[in-house]
Amino acid sequence: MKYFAALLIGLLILPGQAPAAWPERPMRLIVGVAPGGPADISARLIADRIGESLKQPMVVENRPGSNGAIAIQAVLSAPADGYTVLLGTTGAMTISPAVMKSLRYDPLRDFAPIGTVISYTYLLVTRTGIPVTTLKEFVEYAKQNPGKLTFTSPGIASVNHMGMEQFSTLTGIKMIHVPYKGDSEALADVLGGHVDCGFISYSLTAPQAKGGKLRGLAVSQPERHPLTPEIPTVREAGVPGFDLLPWTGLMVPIATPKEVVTTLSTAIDDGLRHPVMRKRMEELGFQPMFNSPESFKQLIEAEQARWRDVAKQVNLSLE
Amino acid sequence: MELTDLFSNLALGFSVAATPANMFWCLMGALVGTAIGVLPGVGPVATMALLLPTTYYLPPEGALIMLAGIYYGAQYGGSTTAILINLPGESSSVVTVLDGYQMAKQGRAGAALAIAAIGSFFAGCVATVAIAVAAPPLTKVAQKFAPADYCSLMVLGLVFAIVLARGSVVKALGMVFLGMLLGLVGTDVNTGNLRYTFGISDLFDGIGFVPLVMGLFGMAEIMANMTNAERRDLVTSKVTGLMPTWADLKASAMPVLRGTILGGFLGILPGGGAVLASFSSYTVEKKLAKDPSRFGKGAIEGVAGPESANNAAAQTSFIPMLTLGIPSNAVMAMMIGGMMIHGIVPGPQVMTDRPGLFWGMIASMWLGNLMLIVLNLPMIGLWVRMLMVPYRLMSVAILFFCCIGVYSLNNSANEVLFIAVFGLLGYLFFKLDCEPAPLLLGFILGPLLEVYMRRAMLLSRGDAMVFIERPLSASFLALAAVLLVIVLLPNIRKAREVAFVE
Repeated sequence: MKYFAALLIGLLILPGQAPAAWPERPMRLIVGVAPGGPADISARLIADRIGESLKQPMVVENRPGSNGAIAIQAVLSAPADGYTVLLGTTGAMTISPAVMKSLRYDPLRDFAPIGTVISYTYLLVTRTGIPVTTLKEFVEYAKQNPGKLTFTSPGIASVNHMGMEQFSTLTGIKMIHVPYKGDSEALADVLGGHVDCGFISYSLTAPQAKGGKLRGLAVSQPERHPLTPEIPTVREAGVPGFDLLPWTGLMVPIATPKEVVTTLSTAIDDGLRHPVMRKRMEELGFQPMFNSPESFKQLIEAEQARWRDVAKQVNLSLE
Repeated sequence: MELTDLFSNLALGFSVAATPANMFWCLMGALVGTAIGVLPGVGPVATMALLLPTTYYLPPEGALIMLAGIYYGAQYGGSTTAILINLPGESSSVVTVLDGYQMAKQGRAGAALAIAAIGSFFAGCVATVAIAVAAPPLTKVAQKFAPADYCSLMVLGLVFAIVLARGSVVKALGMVFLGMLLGLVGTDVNTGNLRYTFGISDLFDGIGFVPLVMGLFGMAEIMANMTNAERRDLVTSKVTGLMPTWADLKASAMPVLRGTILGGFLGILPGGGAVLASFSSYTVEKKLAKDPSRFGKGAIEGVAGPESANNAAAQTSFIPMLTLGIPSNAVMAMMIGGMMIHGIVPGPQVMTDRPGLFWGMIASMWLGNLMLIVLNLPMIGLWVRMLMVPYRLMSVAILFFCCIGVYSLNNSANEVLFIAVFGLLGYLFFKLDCEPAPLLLGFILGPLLEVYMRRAMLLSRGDAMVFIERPLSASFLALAAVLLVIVLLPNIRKAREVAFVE
């Protein structure tokens, strides 16, 4: 009889344990950028680790286009069962809501944040023909030539563009924005001496700065980069409180069971601590970024507010 | 660079590339590349994206050698479908269709395929040497190009499109403009506004090149053949001679050489380098030919020149990637992704920090080209025999692969539907006797023209004089004007003759 009762209790508990069976088949991680860039690589790195710790593969699927909106629609149209996960980015989750007049999604109403994966840094570079060597001199030079300098970015309302607009407002300089398609195109014309400056991905620009083909004035992260300890941070160089740290993080549709969020959150944290992951991130110049679902949500809210201010200041509004 | 340096560098390169493991990856890349090049719609970008994660597990040299092999292998394979079934596998083989398919219809598919392979091999060899000898100075030349210069280069390219036309200049002009309009669909780079997207999210980033080509060429051709029972047998009826004749080779020698030089230079420019190369080579050959009327009716020079040009451009497009870490097209961006996965930061330091990788890749390109010609020449008999497959089966297979190919690009079902839309449009063009090739050139170059022009105007603070003040830009514009006069003169003369007759 005792055994029978135990069995009965066991049976009663079983349905409640059903989510623990998740994942019982492969998961998909939908990425809103083309393969090869930092966001995509971060997705592939963390997907491998999550797949290993949950014993089910997590397959990366690229759905590039429309600043990530196509990937977001794909995730929202899939069932909220934890098998379809989104790689959220700074642009799609914090800038688009701030600058787009009509957005088909609301990051925090439609999605439950799980945790951030990595952040990476930018280097503020100028072409070699500009007669400055420090950030202070650069700001002075820009002030003496108001509206004459041009800055590059991989697209309108990109993190690089918004960051430079905020930097300009904070330092009181005025420059002309020249948008490109993607990081490398944006970099090419600074290298060629056709555009004056810009915040461009550290991994692309640091070697050029070391080779003397560009001037690296300051890194956009709060601490100096270990590979270039001689280059100061923007904060140190005279703009306190300013940083520019694009991140990637996992999110699921809001209706997804809580257990999935908890399990994935632990899997991300474990993955970020894994030695293989640490080594890869170090090689690529990524910083691991730990965030609980709650602190990730606060990060998104804070950044949305930040970009809303910038968009209002420079009067930027897109369809 | 010292000559002895060059030899020691190349020796280092071959010592890396010729190891059994790296030879194997080179062969794999070339094989996979040829296969996907032959399958319509499945391009190197999608394939490399699929294979990128697996390259984790290879040493970086092997990974990059294989990825590079896929790229130039696809250039070889892409011309095969262009010649056999009138379907360009790559944007750079659009012009190969013009005379290649006509040759196939005349039963000379073997000769066309062979000359494409031989021309590509020659161009590949020359371009590999060019990379080894002149990569750094050539990079400097490419960097001299400011947005204003690119803008004028695109104007020149669009004038080429009109020269390309077989029949009426007015129709060609109309097709170029229609292509430019189609190219404007999507998000405006400068303002972020959406243009002509009708709320369809698959159009936000513009109309895809692959569904457009699949529809205009592949599906329209099938529909045209279906409505005409005689046309269907044209290709399959007679196949004479698998190899080019001595006369073919003699006629092709100079076009191959000119195509190689043109392609080698245009390849280092970002954007439409390889496409511009094949179009301009075709234009040059048509202008230099004793009897330009043969072009579009199966002239072997129209295959030899552009095929050499696009392969040379495919090789030299590695130059900015290798020396600066800047990709000149989507495939090179993928190569950079492949480097980053292995923790190699692309940039000017790769050449000095990892000489084995740098020179090994260059050496592997020559080995890969050699493998490709050894593989492909005997395959020609097989490809030509494929034309014996009854058309009712072949057409279904072509449509099937087109649909899979397009879906594999962005996992988008809407884009598969676009094939049908463009297929109908292509059929209409066929009935109206309008050629789709100029439309494609307008479609590729139009948006580039717009972007470069607006960028140039931003940088010059709105001063349009920048287009004539820069020597490079001014010479491109002058060349375009001269070319336009040459094209239009006979028409004006003809019109006057007609007037006189009346």
